[in-house]
Amino acid sequence: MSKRDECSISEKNEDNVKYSNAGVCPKWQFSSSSIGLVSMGDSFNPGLWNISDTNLGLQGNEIPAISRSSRTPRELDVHWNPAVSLSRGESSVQTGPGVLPPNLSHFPADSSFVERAARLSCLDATSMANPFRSNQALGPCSTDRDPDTRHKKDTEPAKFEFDGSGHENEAEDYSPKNLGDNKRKRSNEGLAMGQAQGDPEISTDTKKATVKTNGKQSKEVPEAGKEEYIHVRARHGQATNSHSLAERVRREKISQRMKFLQELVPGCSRVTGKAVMLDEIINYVQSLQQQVEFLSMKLAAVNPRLDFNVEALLSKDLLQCHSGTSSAIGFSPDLINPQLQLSQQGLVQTGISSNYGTSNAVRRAISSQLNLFRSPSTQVSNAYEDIQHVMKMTTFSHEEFNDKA
Amino acid sequence: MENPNPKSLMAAFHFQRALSLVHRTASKSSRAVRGRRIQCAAYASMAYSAGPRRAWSRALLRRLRRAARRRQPRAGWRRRAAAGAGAASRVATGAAGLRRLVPGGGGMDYCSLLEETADYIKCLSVQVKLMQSIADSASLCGQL
Repeated sequence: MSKRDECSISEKNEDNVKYSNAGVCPKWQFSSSSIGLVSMGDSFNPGLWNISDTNLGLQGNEIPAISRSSRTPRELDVHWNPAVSLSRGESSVQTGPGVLPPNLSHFPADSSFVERAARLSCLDATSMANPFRSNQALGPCSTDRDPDTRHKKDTEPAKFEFDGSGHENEAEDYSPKNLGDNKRKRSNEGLAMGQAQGDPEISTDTKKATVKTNGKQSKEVPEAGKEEYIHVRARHGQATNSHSLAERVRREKISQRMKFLQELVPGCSRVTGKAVMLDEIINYVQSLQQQVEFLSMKLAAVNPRLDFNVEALLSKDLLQCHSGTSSAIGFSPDLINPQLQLSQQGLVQTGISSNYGTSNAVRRAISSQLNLFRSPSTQVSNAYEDIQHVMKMTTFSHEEFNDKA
Repeated sequence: MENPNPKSLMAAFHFQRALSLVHRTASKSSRAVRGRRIQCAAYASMAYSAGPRRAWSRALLRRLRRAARRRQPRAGWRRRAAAGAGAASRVATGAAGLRRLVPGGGGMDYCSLLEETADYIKCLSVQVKLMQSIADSASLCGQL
């Protein structure tokens, strides 16, 4: 398919872009093309990622943080573009807070926030012009900053929410122009400056990511790179250098993630130290991959049993209850009478859980089951055919569903 | 297992479909070939159900598709699989080793690497549990 080819080519191009953009892609006004990539990039269910798009807000590109925001990344990324253009067109912003691209209003669902962002970004513009005049520039904005900081913190989407606490505010790096400003602001103001600078700094996100593509170790902080701004308060007796602040923030981020990993990997609660922890993680991942390989070899020997009783498989309750029987499995030759209802139940469960089981499919499955029961010896093959029909039907209905969506 | 979330349900569904597909199409091939295909199917369904939000899922799907397209799937895949699944193979320690293990790990910074690792581990464990339960149920009904 020519579409696939061009998509694959653009996908390959985007590979570099993806890893270097850290989620914010100025080229990415073609959200449709990325959706196209998403949809093509799958041989199982081309449309499914589109379907789940509506539910999960999936998108080909992403902001590289564990995002708990309810807002879809697609919205975000489409609206980053206005933010980017906003930062670039600072002069236009200075005309007034009301003059904003209309898209931006979606982004925080609050027009006052938009106003504030505009005001503060224009403030940033002026401060960038003359860093020593920041006191004056800060004047008009200082009043409404405090009640809004928290609000802005919460609405700042998906950038640094690790556990959804919203306290995860990190400034990866600061521009040298704002150095002096930052020191003052960080000690005086709240989030506001950070948030406001978040928008203009998005355009520089790409620079940071490109600097970082060589896979740095944890402690290095790229100096030219900037990421989303978060307010960090320098603690008592600690260096207030912006670089060390950023580094400390980064270290905290890393330690949080290591803790999370510690919970994931079994038997690592007592391990202290990053190096040992890393080794444990590596061992665990390796063991998991080995298990997958081993199990796949094991499953290769299994005869095709078309059990789509997904829920039963996952819950294992049925398996435990009916040990020695195959009701949870579905269609097996050695069927016993009391299994019938159970398997029906299992099938109904499947129908409900998989969301693709049409009533037809369930009925056919049940009828084939009944056939099985009546004359297990002769009807097995017929039942098998029916099962395959059912599978095809579910497949087909699923594809129909895709087409509709 | 706890309440199956929709993601693992989707993963299970896709994996089962892929499994039946493999059995249908490659029933005459050797067991090793089928096993390899099933392994690919497992990774593919896992990556697919994880969604395109994750860098590792995208990278994994990309790798699988590239391998399938080239029609020499086993060479690179076996090397990588052996690297990941080899007995006591010290591929590397530290961040470099992790990068090699997690798909798509080469192109991200350390923070994102940790994050992707966490998600990858979660999905991998779900996949392993799923496959284990399938194998168990197969052995229960005497087919294994």
